[in-house]
Amino acid sequence: MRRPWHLTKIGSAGLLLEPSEGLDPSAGLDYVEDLVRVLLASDSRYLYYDVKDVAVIDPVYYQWLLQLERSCRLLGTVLVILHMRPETAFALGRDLDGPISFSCAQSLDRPPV
Amino acid sequence: MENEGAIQALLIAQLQLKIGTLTETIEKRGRDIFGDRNLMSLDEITDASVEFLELIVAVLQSPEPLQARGPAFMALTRFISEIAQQILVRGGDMEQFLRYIMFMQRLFLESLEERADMSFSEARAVLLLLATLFNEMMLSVFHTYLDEREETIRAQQDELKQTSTPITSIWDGVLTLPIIGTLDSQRALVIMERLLTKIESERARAVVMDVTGVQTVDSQVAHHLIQMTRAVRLMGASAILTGIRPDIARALTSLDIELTDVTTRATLSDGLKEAFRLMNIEVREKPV
Repeated sequence: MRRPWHLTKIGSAGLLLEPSEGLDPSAGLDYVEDLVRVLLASDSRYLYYDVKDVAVIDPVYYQWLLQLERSCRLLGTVLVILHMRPETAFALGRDLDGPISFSCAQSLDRPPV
Repeated sequence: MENEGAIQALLIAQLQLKIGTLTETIEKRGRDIFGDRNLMSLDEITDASVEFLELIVAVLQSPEPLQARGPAFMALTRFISEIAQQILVRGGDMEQFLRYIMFMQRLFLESLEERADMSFSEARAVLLLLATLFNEMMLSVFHTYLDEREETIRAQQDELKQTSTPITSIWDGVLTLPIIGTLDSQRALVIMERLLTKIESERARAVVMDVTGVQTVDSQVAHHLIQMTRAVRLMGASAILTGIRPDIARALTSLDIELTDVTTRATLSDGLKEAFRLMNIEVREKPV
């Protein structure tokens, strides 16, 4: 099965995930097992999820990110959302009704404070 | 109804007959009203008086003088609008300009007085034609006035938006946002949009939002503040809320939402210290 993302090793403890257009956030649970396997094999402490090409993070997409964050937490991996656009943050910030459980960073060289 | 062509011809003939006196009277009145207050120069008044009469004649010569989309009619209303705009820009009074137009209308009617051969129906047709023409001119002035007012209000609102929420980069990567006045939904959205764009452009990593100057805080305002802090976090920066008064604290707690991810400090100064701490910046007094 072709995975709807591209993974790149970042340093010794990081993995960069760039979702492709084919990613279906409503099928998030189907992806989790596959990703967990990759994370275990790579022994990564950080999973960087790049959303620079994701224009809208709707509730369905947000749920997928939460599922991913919970899976990462089970493995002791930190999920960091990268490159969120202002307009995406604006729309998502208005939809949220609880704290954000994942970390966010502007780029790989600027970790969250 | 009286033959329109004949009425127009009658008016044109009368205007041409009296053109010298009319121009002189209009010009003199214009100097009295606008010249003394430097709203128009004497040359401008002379040129405007001549052009006005030429445009009136052009309208009367057109096949349908009161056709609003006719080129002659549009040229006349555009001319009046331009003069009105010029007077407004120079600080003039629109009421006086409107009275000036009414004066010209009366002058036209008075110039027809000596036409004793005019029948009642002719006089009525002339009056109707002139009244319609001058009413349209006054409407043009009114529209110009409204447009100018709306433009002024829009400019003031834009300026107010900019100045009421100054987002300042106080240190590399640290932004401050003092919110002053009333924070309604519309303003909150404008601030949030500007703040997120600024975080991206400045690559800011900490934002200190000071609400000391927010006058009233209800649950809706508190909700906006929380939304803002979360949106800041989504951009990869930390939001620190400062200046929380008892009423704000009450509004925030009454919301019954999770606040564990919201960093707060009592004062702007404490907020800045927290921002520096987050970024591993140490500010120390220099030993003397």
